[in-house]
Amino acid sequence: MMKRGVIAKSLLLWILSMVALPLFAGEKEQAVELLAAAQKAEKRAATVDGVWRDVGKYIANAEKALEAGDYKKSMELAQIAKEQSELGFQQMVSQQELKIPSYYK
Amino acid sequence: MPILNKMITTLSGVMLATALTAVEATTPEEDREQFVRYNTERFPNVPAEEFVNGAYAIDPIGRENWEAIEEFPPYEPFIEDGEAMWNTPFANGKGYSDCFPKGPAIAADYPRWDREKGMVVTLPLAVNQCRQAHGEKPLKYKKGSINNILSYIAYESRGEVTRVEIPADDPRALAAYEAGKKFYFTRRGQLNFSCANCHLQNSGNQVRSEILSPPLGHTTHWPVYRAKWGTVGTLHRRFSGCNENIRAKALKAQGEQYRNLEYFLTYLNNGQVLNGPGARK
Ligand code: HEC
Repeated sequence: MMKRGVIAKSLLLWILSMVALPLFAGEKEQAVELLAAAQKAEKRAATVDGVWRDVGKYIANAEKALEAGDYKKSMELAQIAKEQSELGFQQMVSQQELKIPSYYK
Repeated sequence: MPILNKMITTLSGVMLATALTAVEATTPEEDREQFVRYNTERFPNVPAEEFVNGAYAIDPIGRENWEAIEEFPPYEPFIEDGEAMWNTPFANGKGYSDCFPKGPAIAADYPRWDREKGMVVTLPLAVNQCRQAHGEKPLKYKKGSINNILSYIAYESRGEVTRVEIPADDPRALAAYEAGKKFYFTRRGQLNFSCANCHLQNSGNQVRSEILSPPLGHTTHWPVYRAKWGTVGTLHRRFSGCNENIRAKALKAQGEQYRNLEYFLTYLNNGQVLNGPGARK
């Protein structure tokens, strides 16, 4: 009985922390953080020449939205830039070894 | 966003399905022979000397328009401006002929391996090295007046034969060639395409409103007047455009990657006759 109560309490705390804490953390701080993460991902993709075409635009527009106080939009754009950069990085790393495709015979 | 993600997943699924074979090391000359064989077997009706005309060697309708355009070549004023550039002394009294004593018919000497610098030197790079050696500002590598001097040089070099050398006694030259080859077969961008996906696997097929030309002949006719550009542009401008079409960020014109790519692609075109400047859609 006692044990179940403890579990229930910690579960409640855990749910609270997952749902509520991010709401308390400033939206602005989150947007700043995500933008920095996107920029870092772009730099990393650039080290292997794996940057996709529109990443720069997404980041520039995320910066503008951040300045304009539209944190939601800024985060949306930064998220796309970050994901695309991660994919671009993986794309290049996965092809480090030259393979001649079978159609070219 | 969801549409985009879906597209990426679908695309990468399709791409992964393409079989890849491990590389056995091949020599550049073996690569070139294979390249010529692939092109000629794929286009058995194209006469050998026609490949330098790109898509117009395989597309009769496009060819008709192109022949009409070639009667009053849109690149002609650029050749004239380039000739004037060649003959106008730099501020220090010297000129292009001090750097290129052979005269302007030098396109077939490039790209070439520069042993001292340990890098591939292309013609546009050599033009700017000349300018800078004589205290002139370098020209931009994609648009603008570099295309004038290049048009003049291309015109004067017509009829010369592509003959890129990879000096056997400098392994860095072969490494540069191999880097260019790697680039050609590497998938890039959001659409996950390599140069080879379009220009080898799909040559002869239609992409949007264009028919993909056989890549044999791709390096013979630069710079090119493109109707789409409304002016004459360099080979590296074309590389940039092809990279951007597959939603990759273009690399730097005359940066190491594109110079090595040019070295590789031009080597594969050894034996092809120079016919620049060209005109394309
Ligand atoms: C999505 C398909 C696609 C990819 C990928 C692509 N290209 Fe192209 N490329 C085209 C199309 C379309 C044209 C115009 C029609 C033609 O001449 O084939 C073209 C034209 C060219 C030309 C000019 C041909 C001429 O006759 O003047 C060159 C050179 C070229 N591409 C090189 C490359 C290189 C190098 C790469 C890789 C960096 C590349 N392309 C990747 C579609 C592609």
